[in-house]
Parts: sequence; structure tokens; C-alpha cells
Amino acid sequence: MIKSPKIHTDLLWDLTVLFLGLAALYFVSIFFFRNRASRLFRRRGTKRTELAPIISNFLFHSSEDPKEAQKEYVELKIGIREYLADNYFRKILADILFDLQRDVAGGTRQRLFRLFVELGLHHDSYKKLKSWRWNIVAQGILELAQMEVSHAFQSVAKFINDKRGIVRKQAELAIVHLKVDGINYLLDNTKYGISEWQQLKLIEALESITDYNPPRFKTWLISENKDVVLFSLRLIKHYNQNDAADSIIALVKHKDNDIKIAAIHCIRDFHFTKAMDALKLVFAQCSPIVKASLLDTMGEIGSEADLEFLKHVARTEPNFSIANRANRAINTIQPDAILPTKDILEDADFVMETITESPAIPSDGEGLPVENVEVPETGEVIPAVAEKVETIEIEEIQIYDLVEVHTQPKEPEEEEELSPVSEEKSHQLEILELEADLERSLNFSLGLVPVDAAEIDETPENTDYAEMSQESREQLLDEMTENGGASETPLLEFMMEHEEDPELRFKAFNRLRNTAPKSQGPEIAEVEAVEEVAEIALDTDDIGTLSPEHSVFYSLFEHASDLDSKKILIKETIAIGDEKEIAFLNHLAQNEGDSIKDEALKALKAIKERRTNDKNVPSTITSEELLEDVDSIVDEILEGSGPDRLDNHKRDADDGTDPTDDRIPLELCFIYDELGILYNGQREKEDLGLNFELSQEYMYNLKEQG
Amino acid sequence: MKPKELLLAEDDPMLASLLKFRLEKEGYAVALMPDGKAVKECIATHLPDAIISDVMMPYFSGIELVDYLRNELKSKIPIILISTASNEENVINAFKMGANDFLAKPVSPSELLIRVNREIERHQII
Repeated sequence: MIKSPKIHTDLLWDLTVLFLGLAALYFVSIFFFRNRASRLFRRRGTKRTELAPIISNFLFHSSEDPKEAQKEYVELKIGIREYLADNYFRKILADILFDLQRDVAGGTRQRLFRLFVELGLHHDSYKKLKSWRWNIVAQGILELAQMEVSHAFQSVAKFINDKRGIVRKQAELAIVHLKVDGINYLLDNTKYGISEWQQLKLIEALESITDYNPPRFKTWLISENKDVVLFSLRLIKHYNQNDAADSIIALVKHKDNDIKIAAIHCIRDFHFTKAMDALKLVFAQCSPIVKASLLDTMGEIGSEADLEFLKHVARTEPNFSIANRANRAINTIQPDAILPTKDILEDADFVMETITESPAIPSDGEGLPVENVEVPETGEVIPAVAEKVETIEIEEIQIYDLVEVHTQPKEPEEEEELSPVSEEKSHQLEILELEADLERSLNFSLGLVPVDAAEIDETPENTDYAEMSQESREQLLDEMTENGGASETPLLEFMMEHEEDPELRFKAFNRLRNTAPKSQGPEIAEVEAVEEVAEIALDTDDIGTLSPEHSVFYSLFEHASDLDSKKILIKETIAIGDEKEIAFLNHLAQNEGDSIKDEALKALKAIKERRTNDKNVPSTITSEELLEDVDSIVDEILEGSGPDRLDNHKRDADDGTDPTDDRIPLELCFIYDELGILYNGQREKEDLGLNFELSQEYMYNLKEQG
Repeated sequence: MKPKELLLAEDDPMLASLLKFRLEKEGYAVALMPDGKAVKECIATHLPDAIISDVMMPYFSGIELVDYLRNELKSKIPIILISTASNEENVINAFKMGANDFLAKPVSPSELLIRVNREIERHQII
């Protein structure tokens, strides 16, 4: 069994008494020292309060004061001398003067400094300099510096190379305070380093000297103390002493980076352009941080002659930051010499959207606005650049397209050579490949031929539409916005073709008419006569102005699902391709894979060969031919064959659809009525032989009966 | 002739004593106040001819004193503020509140005297 050790009761009591005694001693000592400190503080405060008016009297005494004041001053002076024998009194007096020198300025402050010396308080500060404790020595130096005891300079100066850092720094500041040329002594004699903070404090001390005339600090650029050189460079920059160009340029070759950078900053600030060669010379051996400063300086002070060096640095420098600085320097010397290249897409990657405003069609078809289109010069037919744009409106057949031609005033000598279009208009017209496009435009504008009827009929939307009820169809048509794009066009055309309800069909026709000119799709854009004219007058060699999107194959190619389809499309371009297809094929040859590229190149070759052959055959249509063709169309229409002809086109396009479905929009019926054209439906009605007029035979029979 | 009464509010007794001595030597009757509370109590009963006040004082700052004088007592007596923190914001605030002048420490007693004389004369003219 384990038993606890026995502790003698007397020992416990002894320990208790001991700890209680220690605690009491501790509290008594705290009480004693605290009271003593408070008493001393109060005593000092009282003494300060007593001495404050005496010091004020000393400070503001003047020989012009009244006798009473003069007498009081003398008495105080005698009285204070007795007190000055007391160290404690002197200490309080010195404290008061140190406090006051921080709060007062001007003449009062100068009098205060004099009073400090007159009262002999500076001797206490001198004594402190002899102390072995560094803090006392530093305090003595500080007091002498603050009270501006100038004859203490030598006493303080010997501490500038003291091994104790605080004493040394205090001495450095003190000698700058105590004497105007203290900085010279410091820079001449200091052997230790001068920290940046200390340099700032020294500059601050120099700034506080009134009417300070700084020495030429270039004198100390040859110092062996690198901190003295560095400090001198900063002082040179601070006081704008630009007479040390050669020394500063030489310091660019200094082995110390801090001195190099300081020298480079001086070169930049003083714009020492003759330093450029030295800068280039040392560049390769410099550290990255110095190189950065060098390049910035070169950018600031360099000229175009230095661009080659900077470009070389930008090319060869492995450090990204330095290369970037070199580029920046180049751009500083020569703005915008180097443009951004990182993540910048090429021009070919962008497609400029061509905004072609379709002409608004007034109800009466008159005064149609025309968009001027710059047409490239065609040297063959139009001798000079077009100067005037006129518009021929083919109003007779209500074609909602404008044929825009560029004309120039006819010159007298050309009148006989070129056949005028009409006697009223003496303009020379030149239109290329118009006939096919004109027919297509006519058919589309009249709502007879959809873009691709077969394709439209097979779309799911059209199938859905066919299965819709009458109400749903009306609702669908109402929901369609009049400003709808090309996406609505196929359905509208389908409705126009297949809708049984004439009212709905008419609505669809109207919407289609509103939609067609505004759509930007390649198919619709082709019907725009303005664009056609541009194409007609286009110089065949000027393919560069066309973009791949101009080709009708572009969108088909974009939507082609597999490689075979794309190849088939490319082959198709051979048969019908022109400038637009050349641009399209060029685009494919540059941007697509090998198989497509090969096909595109083949097609390009074939198209170019065909076009070369075609050039031997006149491929242009003169204005006379054009108008003859237009006249023939109009004549056919007026003779009644027009609608048939148009219907034929429509049936051609509606390949695979019901050929007997030759109904036409209601509005077109009205147009036909106005023009006196007999359309199919009307002929059928007439074929029924319903004539409500009484025939002559009936009248004759009636007369005989009567 | 009754001397002009000045109220000097300064919490540093050495500077206060020095300035008081200088102002009294010039013929002013100077009442010394160690903090803003004492100043308030004093001016609540009796307004001096001018007030010289430190900005940073115990209880009430010099700016608050100006506010109290101008907006509560509706007094137009000259007020000159003294401050170590003579930053732009302090100076602008002081003048916005209605202080007549502002002096940065360290203060030249001679300069202060001239400014006090000028403000009192200006106040008398108004």
C-alpha cells in the first residue's frame, strides 16, 4: 500500500509566512515606487509651472521694456543662477526648453536656443557625449543638434564613424543640422554605409536649412564609399545638378546595380543623349532589373538611330519582360511602330457585313428611292468612270426592282457611234448578263417562283402547315412579323402557292412582298437589282472585291452534312460558276482540308478556262439589247402570253408539283385587270361561255315571235 | 482703458504659458483654459473679445468649439485656431465652421499677436 509522505506542519506554516511576506513586499514596493513616481511627476509639473513664466520672461525680454520689467528680469536672472547649481533644476529647465522648441517658431525659437546656451545647459549635453552608454551619447548628440549648439560640431563629428549604428546615425544627422557644410564633411569622411532611410532623413535635414546653397555633389561621385556615390547621385538628381554628365555616364559601367540604376535615372532625367552609346555597351552585361531601366531610359532619350538596337534586343532577348520593354521603348521613340500581335485574328477571319437597303416601294410605284452603288469601271463599254447615276423604273409591268445604271453625259463625238436607248434619254447603257437574272427577279417579285419550290415543299414546317386547321393557319399568319427575315420566306411562299383560302393567300403574298426586299440571305439578295447592276458592271478580273458569301454555293456548302455533298457542290460550280464562285473556291482552297482543296482547285481551273473561252465571245449585252428584251417581255404580257410565260417559269421551278395548279395571287389579278391582261383563271371563266348580254340571234327570234 | 479679453484654450501648459505671457505683455487680458469643457463653461457665462484655441484638446476639439459658438451661441467673436495637424481637411473644416484664422504649429508668438490684433480690429469695424 502506497502512503503519502508526511510533511511537517511547521514547514507548511513557514512556507505560508514566507509567501505572504513576499506578496506584502511586492505590493508595498509597487505602492512605494508608484507614489514616488507620481510625486516626482507632480513636483516636476509644479516646477515647470513655476519656471514657465521665468522662461517666457527671458525669451520675451527686451531692452525697451519698462523699468519694472527690466528690474524683474535682472532679479530672475540672479535667482535662476542659484538654482542652476542644482542638477535636478537644470534637468527640468532643459526639458522645458526642449518641449518649447518644438512648439514655437521664428525669433522666439532662436532666442530659446540662445537661452539654452546662456544658461549653460549645453554642458550637460556635452557630458552625455562622454558616457559609455550608447543611448546617453545619442541623447546628448540629439540635444546639441536640436538646440543648434553650432560649436558642438567637432564634438559631434567624431561620432560619424562610430561603430555603434544609432550613435553614428544621430551624429550624421546632427552635423547636417549644426553646420551648413556638414553634409560635405559627412560625404568626405564617412566610412560606413548610409541606409536609404538615413539618406531620406539627411535630405530632410538639408531641406530644413533656410537659404541652403548645395555644393556640387558630383565631387563625391569618385568616392570609394559606394553609398556616398549613391547618395551623391540622389542628391544630384534632387538638386537638379546637370553638370556631371561624364561622371554619371561613367557610373553606368559601375559594377554595383544600385549605382547603375541611379546613374541611369540621372541620365534619363537630365536627358543625357550622349550616354546612348554607353547604355548600349553595358546592356548585355546588365542584370534584368538594370536592363529594364536601361530600356526605359533609351525609350525616353533615344532617337530613330537607336531603333535598330532596340529591335535587336526585342528579337534576341530571352526574357519576356525585357523584350516587352524593348518594344515599349521602340513605340515610345516611334509611336505605333509595333502593334499588338498576340491573339489578334487576321483580316481574312472577319466578314464585313454589307448593308444593302432595299428601296421602299410606294403604293403608286413612283419616286422610288435609289441607292447609289459604286460600280467598278468597265473599260470596254463604259469609257470613263460614271459620274451620274440614273434609274430606270420599269413601271409598266410593276416590277418592284430598280435597274440602276451608271451613265455619263454623252459626248458629241460618241453620239453617232453608240446607239442611244431612246430619243428622250441620251445615255449610254452597259449591262452585263441581265437576262437570266431579270427573269428570276420578275418571277420572284411577282410571287410566281419560290427560291427553291421543291425544297420548300419538303420542309417540315410546310408539312405541318398543310395539316393545320383554317383558324391555326390564320393565327400563324398573324403571328408572323412583317419584318421577318428570310427564314419566313419559304413558308410564306408555300402558303402563297398552296393555300386554298384566297384571303390567306393574299395575306401571305403581301407579307412575302414585304419580307423579300429586307432579307439579307444570299438568295434574296440576288434579286436586288442594285446588286445585280453591280455584278453586271463588274470588271471580270476584279474578283478580289467579292467575298465567298456572294456565291450561291456558300450557304449550301456551309449546311452540307458530309464530305461527298461538299464535293458534289464544288463540281456543280464548274458548270455555272462565275466571279462569285471563283472567290468562293479561292476561299475553300485556302481554308479547307486537302480533299476539298483539291476539288476546289480543279473547279477553279475549269471555271477559269471556261471564262477565258467566254471572253472571246461578247459577253455583254448592250443597253439596246436589254431594252429590246424588256420590250419583248412586256409585249408578250400585253398579248396575253405573259402570264403563261411566267407560269412556265413557275412550273419549271415547281418541278414535281401539280402542274395544273396555276392559281395566282389576288393582287396580281388586280394588276392584270388594270393592264387588261387575261390571266388563266379569267380565261377559264370566259371559256365557260357565260355571257349575260342578249345575243343578236335571241333578239331576232324574239322579234319574229313578236 | 479696459484691456481686450482673450480666451486661450491650450492643453500644453508650457506653450500656453509662453503665449499667455506674450499676449499679456502686449496688453491683453488672457484667460487660460486647459480643455474644451472649461472653455464651454467659460463662454456660456461670458464671451471674450477673441478666442485662441488649439484644435486637439480634451473633451471638445477646437472645431467643435467653433461650431458651438457659431451655431448655438450665434456669436461672431473672432476665433483663431492653432493645430499641429495642419492638413488641408482640418483647415477647410475650420474655415467652413466659421473660424476666422488658422495657425499651424510650431507657432510664432509674434505672428499670433499680429493675427489676433487684426481679427479684433476687423471685428470692431464690423
